[in-house]
Amino acid sequence: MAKATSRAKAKNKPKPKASPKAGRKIFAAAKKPTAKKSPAKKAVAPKPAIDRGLRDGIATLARIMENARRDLAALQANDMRLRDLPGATDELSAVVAATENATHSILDAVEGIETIAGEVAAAHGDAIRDGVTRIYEACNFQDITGQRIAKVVGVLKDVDKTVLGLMEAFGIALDAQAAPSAAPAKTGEAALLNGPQMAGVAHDQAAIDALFGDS
Amino acid sequence: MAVDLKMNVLIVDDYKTMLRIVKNLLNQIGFTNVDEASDGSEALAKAQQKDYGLIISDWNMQPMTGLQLLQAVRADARLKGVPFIMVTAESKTENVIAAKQAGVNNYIVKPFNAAVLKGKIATVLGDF
Repeated sequence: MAKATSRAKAKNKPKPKASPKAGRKIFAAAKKPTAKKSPAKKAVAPKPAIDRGLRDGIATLARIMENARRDLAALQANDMRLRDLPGATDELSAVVAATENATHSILDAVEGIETIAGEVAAAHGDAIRDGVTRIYEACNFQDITGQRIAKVVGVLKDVDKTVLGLMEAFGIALDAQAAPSAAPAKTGEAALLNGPQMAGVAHDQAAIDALFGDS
Repeated sequence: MAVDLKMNVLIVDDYKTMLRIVKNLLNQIGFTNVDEASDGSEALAKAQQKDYGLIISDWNMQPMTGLQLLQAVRADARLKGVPFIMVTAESKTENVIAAKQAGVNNYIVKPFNAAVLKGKIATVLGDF
């Protein structure tokens, strides 16, 4: 609600500023020197040049903005917001979950090994404990990579917010109801190469066995 | 003076893998009474109910950060003297300064190794 009203305010505010009066003023100022062709006025001529520059500049800006609006529409921002960005975030979350699970498995195994280290000859025990310590140290990676990935997820969320802001600014409707269009079709073998599937979507080995006819 | 290895140690981190790593390394050093918390508020609640000889805490956690935990510990009449080591990936100068100003006893940057952990504990508690 608050967002909507502030947006409405933002829309309304610039209007009085860019009133037709202001536009006329510029126009009048630009006209003036050509109307009075006195040589004295010509000597102080840079003014019309500035105004023409201003007008050209505004026209250029308008063109740039129209191009940007068209580019943004062509980007299929709806797809980006509804499919690509959430998809990328899910993939990254899956990476964090996978490294966490793997690290716990490694720690399970190493804790078991450390227990056994106390039951073997001292020299071997020390060597095993030393190796175990280095594995514990290496498992630091899960925390560090997890934090780095969380940062990237934050960046993706910022991109999403920026795209939404641009869509609003250029009057491109966000259709949250519309199903995102299918990912660009790949053909041939490329269509078969999609990387790991998300849990729940992926076939497990039992489903593969069933498909393969190997039970 | 010898460090009492039977003391209660509280370790705080929102990454469960990191809690396991620190706990195992503490066990290797000889500390056997190690409790865990996953953020500052859980740690503070535990610290108010049990006597801890050392708190080892991460910084970046939700809802209560390690710095907020440190400030709460230092502001608590009973807890204010508990040795506190920050273990964090935040390694900017201003982080170290902020932690020092809040009364941290030492600062370990992630990723860390067992020797650094043991060395910093010795610096804070004395040799063992």
